[in-house]
Amino acid sequence: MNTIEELKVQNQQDFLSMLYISVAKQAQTICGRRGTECIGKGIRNAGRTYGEALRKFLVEQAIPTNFETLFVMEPYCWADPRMRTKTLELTPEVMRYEVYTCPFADTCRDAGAGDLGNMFCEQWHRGLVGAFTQDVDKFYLTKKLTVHRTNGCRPDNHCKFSIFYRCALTQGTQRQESFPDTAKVSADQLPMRSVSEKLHIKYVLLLTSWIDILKQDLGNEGLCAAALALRSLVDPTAEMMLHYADMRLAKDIGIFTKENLPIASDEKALDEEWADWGSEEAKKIFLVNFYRPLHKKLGIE
Amino acid sequence: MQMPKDSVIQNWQDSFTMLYGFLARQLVEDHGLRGERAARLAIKDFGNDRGEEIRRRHLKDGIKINMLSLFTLANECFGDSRWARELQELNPQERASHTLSCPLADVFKKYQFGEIGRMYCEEVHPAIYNHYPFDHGQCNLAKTMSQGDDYCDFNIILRPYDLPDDLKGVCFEEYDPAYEGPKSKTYPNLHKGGFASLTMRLVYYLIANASKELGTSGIDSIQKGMHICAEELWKVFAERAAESNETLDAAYVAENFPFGITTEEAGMDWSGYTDFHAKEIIQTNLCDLLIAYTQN
Repeated sequence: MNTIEELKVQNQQDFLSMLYISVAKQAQTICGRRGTECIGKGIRNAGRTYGEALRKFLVEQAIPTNFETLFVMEPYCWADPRMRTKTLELTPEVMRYEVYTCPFADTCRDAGAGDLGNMFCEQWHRGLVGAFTQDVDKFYLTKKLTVHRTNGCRPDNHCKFSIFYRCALTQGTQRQESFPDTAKVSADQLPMRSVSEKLHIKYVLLLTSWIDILKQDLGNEGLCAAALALRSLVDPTAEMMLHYADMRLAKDIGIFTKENLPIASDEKALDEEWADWGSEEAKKIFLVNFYRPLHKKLGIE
Repeated sequence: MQMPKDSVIQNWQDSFTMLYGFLARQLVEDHGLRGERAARLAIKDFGNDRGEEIRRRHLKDGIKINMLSLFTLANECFGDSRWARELQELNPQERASHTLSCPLADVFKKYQFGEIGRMYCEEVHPAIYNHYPFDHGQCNLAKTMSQGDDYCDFNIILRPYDLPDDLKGVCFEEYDPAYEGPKSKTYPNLHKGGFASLTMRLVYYLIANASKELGTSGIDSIQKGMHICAEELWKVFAERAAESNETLDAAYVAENFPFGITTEEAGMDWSGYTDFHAKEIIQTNLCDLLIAYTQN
């Protein structure tokens, strides 16, 4: 049975999945092929922004920027108890692992959005690792639980990752930063962010990236798709919060929502949350179309 | 054109693989990380060259640059019967397949090339498959026999949303409303010419990158690797000639070695691949050695 702490992570992850599916589906419905393209590009850009920020952060801390640091600090989703993974090989240069169950894949398939889930998996990790390694990496993801086969073949039953970052292909400063001759850094020396913090960053980054590209490529039509997606997310999110709060016998829906959604609890905290990773325009669209209506629906001041 | 015998094709393929393995291994053994860098860059250059050549041909023939074209209309030299593949998906955006048996992996295992073999698979496939569609492909190869897996797991992808607007119509028919179809759709297997060309390019790039990264000591390693390769190749030829009751003479070498007995062999186009004295190095340290063995 899952612990109470694990349920918070699960709910936060599920919200992210719902957010993605909602925005991607609306973009697809309203803007067609071009809407889908914007979402794909947005995922990759967000991944790259995060990967680059992570790399710079580690360089400032004089911590090596290789896979033994990246894959201990990330990925956040492994804290979700519904994820079952197995690491086959982890060295500074190589990360090979498999995923056997994944809540994001389950949510996508349940929503009939396997193709959209597939797109996310193809773009996010590739963007993140590519930026982290300054595009020296070889990122391989052959099997995907989200895979959407159209020819009668069975979908994949696991995700298979093999990622390589070869010292021989780096030079100069990059080699010194990623593969120094100094002693290894142990996991407890790494400046870890909490899972919740990572999820907060991720939703801001992704939403900002989508809204920026939708506006850039599709103008007002793109922004409308994003706004409609956020509006349509209010009811299912409220329903989810009320359902789980009831199951948990939580008395204060405001506190429960704060702990179970990866979103700041008030607008002042939201400003801080968006300051580092978001844009003003995206934040406003989020506030007006989702945040305030959700709080109103839940009766949160 | 008459199909060459299976054994001849296998000799071409194994010559290619052994040349890679012994040259790359020598570079790494002699020069460590710098040797590894030279070998990896060489494989990448080779892969890019190959991807670009296929793309050039397809563009000339009005063929869309996508996964369906790449894996049905490329002039691959895969007449080697030792390949076994299982295809899961093939459409313009995606090819998913498993390779169940691979002659390169067999050679890597036989000579215990280990990480050298893994390096080849890791570098060459994205170099070809990503470069072919203007560097917008996504080559995924998470399992390889060369890293100890039971089969090689490929998923090569090209998504329209990864392409800039001006390339969408070049790659996908649905983005090109006036497209009337390709001018040509058949690519006959070039047999020895094809293998010779591939082997020439692979060895050229190994020589070039060894020279650029390591100078004359890199070329020394290449030559040393060639001598060892020639010796091992001779043993393979001897075994196979005996199996098929053939005489291991200059004619056998001429037929079974991609370069034949002379780099001046008719039909071989070396233009663009003669820098760094590549042709002379190959003639002296491979062809001449093999001929010397026939005379002993």
